Amino acid sequence: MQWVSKISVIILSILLTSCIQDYEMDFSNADSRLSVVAELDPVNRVEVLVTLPKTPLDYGDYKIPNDAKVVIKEDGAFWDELEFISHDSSWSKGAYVSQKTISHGKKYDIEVQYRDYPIVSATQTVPEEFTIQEMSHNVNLHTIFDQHSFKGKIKFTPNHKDERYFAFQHYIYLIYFEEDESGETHQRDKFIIFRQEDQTGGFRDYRSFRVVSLRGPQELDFQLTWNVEEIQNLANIQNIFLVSVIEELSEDAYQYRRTLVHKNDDYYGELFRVYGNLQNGYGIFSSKVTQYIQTKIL
Amino acid sequence: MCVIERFRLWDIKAFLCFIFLFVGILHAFSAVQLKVQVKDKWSQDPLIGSSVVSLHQNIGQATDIDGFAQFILEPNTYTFCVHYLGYHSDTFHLILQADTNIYVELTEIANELEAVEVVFNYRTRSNGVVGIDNELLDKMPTFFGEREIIKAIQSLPGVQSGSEGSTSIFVRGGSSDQNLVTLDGIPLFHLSHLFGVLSVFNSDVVQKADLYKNYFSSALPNRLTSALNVFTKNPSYTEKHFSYQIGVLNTKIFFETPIIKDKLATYIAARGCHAGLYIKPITKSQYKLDDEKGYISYYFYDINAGLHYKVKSQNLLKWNFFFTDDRYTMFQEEERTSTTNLEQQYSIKYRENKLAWSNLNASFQHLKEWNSLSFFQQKFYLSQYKLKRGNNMIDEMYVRDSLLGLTKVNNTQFSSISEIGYQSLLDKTFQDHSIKTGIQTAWRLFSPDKSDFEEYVGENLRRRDEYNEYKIFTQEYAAFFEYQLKKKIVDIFSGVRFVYYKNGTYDKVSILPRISVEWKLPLSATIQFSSQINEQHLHMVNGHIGDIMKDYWVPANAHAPSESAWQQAISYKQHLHHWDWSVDLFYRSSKQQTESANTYNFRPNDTWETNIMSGGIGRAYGAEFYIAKKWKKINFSISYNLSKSERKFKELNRGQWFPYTHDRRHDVSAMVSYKFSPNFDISLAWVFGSGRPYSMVDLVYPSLQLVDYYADGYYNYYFLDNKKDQIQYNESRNNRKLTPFHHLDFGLNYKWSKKKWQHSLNLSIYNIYNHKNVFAVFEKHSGSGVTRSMKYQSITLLPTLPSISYAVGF
Repeated sequence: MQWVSKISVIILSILLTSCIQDYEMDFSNADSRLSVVAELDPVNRVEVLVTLPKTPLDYGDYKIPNDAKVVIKEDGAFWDELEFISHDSSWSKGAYVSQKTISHGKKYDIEVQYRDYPIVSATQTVPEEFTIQEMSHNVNLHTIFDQHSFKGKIKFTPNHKDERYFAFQHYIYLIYFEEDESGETHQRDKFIIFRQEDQTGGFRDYRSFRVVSLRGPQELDFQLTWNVEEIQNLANIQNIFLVSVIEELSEDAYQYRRTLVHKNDDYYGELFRVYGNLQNGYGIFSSKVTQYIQTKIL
Repeated sequence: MCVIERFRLWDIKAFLCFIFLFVGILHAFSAVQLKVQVKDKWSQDPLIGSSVVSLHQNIGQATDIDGFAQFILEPNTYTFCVHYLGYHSDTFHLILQADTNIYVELTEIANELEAVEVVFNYRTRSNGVVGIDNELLDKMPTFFGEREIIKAIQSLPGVQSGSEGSTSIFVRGGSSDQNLVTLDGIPLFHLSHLFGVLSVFNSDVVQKADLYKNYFSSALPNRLTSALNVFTKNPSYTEKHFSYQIGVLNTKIFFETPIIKDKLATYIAARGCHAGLYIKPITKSQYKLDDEKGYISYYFYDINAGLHYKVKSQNLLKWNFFFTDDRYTMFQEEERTSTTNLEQQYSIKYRENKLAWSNLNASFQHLKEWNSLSFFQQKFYLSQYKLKRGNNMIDEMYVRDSLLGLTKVNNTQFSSISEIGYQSLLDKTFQDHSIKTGIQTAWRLFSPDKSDFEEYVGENLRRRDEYNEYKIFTQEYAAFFEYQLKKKIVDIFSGVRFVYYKNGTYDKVSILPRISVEWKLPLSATIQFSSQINEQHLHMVNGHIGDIMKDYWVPANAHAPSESAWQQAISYKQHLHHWDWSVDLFYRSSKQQTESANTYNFRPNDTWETNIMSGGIGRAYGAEFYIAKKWKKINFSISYNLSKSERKFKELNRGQWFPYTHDRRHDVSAMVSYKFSPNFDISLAWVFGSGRPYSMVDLVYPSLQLVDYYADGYYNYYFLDNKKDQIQYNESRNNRKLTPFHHLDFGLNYKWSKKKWQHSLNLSIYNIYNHKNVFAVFEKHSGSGVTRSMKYQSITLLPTLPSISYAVGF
């Protein structure tokens, strides 16, 4: 039976040698349309990133056209043609920027033209300003330095019956002094963004925002956790602020974030199509309204 | 006068005697012989002790050791009934005028077989059921020396010809969980050994397999697309049999014996994988070649056992047991050295990945014949499938060769499904029609995604977390009624199934009707129309392409309701001058379909419900063609399926239809065999299937994360190849197809006998032309910084694989 064993070993060697070979994929249509990415917010300037998409095989910078025509209309009337500004220090090498400020509740249309590429267009209505009736939390110096989590509550005014979308981010902003090797003291600051542990609905998006869809008046609980050692290790703390960022998202922004976080949730996961609202292009033209609530703790 | 008178008187007496004698002789010579042989329809084994009884005359006999019963009868018209315990009775009428031989083939009750028509690679029944048995299986090339019943099923019309490393059954564009697989009528939840390379069915004990795809009886537990019933053999009540087989991968042993002759018999079959003996040293040396330490070990075994007892002449008790166990371990040892504060430190990391899965299937059956035309059957059973994945790590830190510290992390995930059930069946046959009715219950216990985490520092437990400890209990109760009418030109099968399902607060009541009408046309042709509604109350959550053993059973609930489907089929088939051909057309629409929205992984605080998308609709339609021809020593058959399977979900693919993962536009299976002699034959089999649809990136573009809102360069540190900041875009779900799947296989069988021992040798070559069928596609990254690059690569599991097996037995 020795020959049987020998043959078996040979066959198993073949079996166990996994056959790996290059696999050809056709990406010939990868850059046939433009990619446009922008999110309008009345507190920020308008910045539109226009790129040529690339294949997943390409590493390195995106090709960014600097002679595209980017026009935005407000309620159907011309609002501004955006100017390309080069960002030397930025990876993107530039984006199309307007120095004007957009307004709440207005409808904006974008149109991007570049050479023979199909014209990209999209429409977006910026949410109205919203009111927060009450925000409470139990954070104090003791909780920040000794505990790993705290609870809070936000109450909204009952100004909407339809479904609306909100995103919450909470962080601690610290100002402290640090001595360098020569003994000189420097003022430093630090952001500690909380993890939001609650499972009461919604999802966490890519910047530790908790995103929810709400209907009517709402009371929303939140529970935040942080690494307490990160704060305990700091000396000479001058000021501590608790900052809550609350964004009202347009439906497009909500769908975009919801699908984006789904995609990011599992690195090895099956492909999940990220929401987009552009005609003839890839990307998103969305909007949001942001409010900051700052509480001084120290 | 007196003499004359005396003579005449004697003469008259003699004449009368002669007449009486002549008439008597004539009478004796006019009696004819009727010889009836009774056989098992599938195995063709004689059925010893079958009763052959005339219904109107008080005559009857039991068959002898060759299955024969002989009668000397007057020419007349007779109606005989043949019955054998555990088999369907058969009745035949004949006008007996001369010596006659009658062959009666009985079918087992559990098999519910009708008139069988033999074609090359499968047998068909009048209601569209197709089956494969050992005789047919012998004609096909083996796989690692194993006669693979699942591979044979995959060659049938309407069944996908398989994919790389898969022993699941995909019928008419449905998923594997939509196909019910039973072993002796008991549901099975996992079918593979060796990550899908071999099926769990041991050919030593498999008697046959029936696939129901057009019409399946209401007596069968429901799934959406089809049902595959695999039957184990009955042990011999009269003779001992033994066989032993050694092949490349495994060793098999089979033994059956009567314990009390004609009363009590048993069999046991065991199969063990000895490949682990080779795998471990080979992988160890492969690691060594790469300057690493580690190994891979793998083994499996399975056991089939049965104990059958005939109580008196009308009761049969059967106890069947089936168990499989697979264990895989990958072990790696990694050593790292560092110098700190002038002290030599080094750490050793031991990583161990373990994977184990098992099936347990046990049943107790009772069959009772009330009379020759009616019987009752009941079963109690347990079916269980368990999957365990473990990732263990030990980290040892040494300073100057003394152990400084030790940390140990064990992460284990479990998934299981257990079903306990009861099934009963009452069958009554009349002259040209029959009824079946019964009840069924199935209590299932699911533990889909349990996870344990343990961390030790030294020997002290530092952290222990248990996630998803919950268990889900579901109940399913069903009653069915089946009516069959058989006339000269038409057969009608009809049935209805009433089901009540409950899972916590979610419950569902269903009425599931079905009908099949088959017309018998001239020239041995038949045309069949069938329509039925099916429903299933459990789902399988699948991993994505290339995932191994990431399939978990979950129950229907409010989040993922019970799936249902309506299927219609038309089938035309004909047997003419050694030609067999058939055409099937089907259309199936389904509701409440589920899809894995993302890869389902066990993660803390994450349940299966967060990764399953439900409420989808599906449609599948297609045509199946089959043709077979027999020339003296050559058999040839080819089947071709042209089909489409699509799905639509509100929240997937922008609400548009997309090709389902198991959509195969073209599927071909061809086979040819040549028999040199009764002991020597060769065969070739070729399969082809369109590539499996899958989702793959078409292009990438920046995400909003990369927009520098504040123009402060805050986000500048993000890397371009950081996937979080780029969106991988695919035009639609399942936008691409893998390269087509095909392979050609060769088989050679040679048998010989020496005294009472029978020997057989099998040589097989799988994938003769070494086509690199794709199992999975993955990204291969290399380089760093500006030299970074990426390309796609594919893995093939099964290249050309020659195999040999030798079996001996009596």
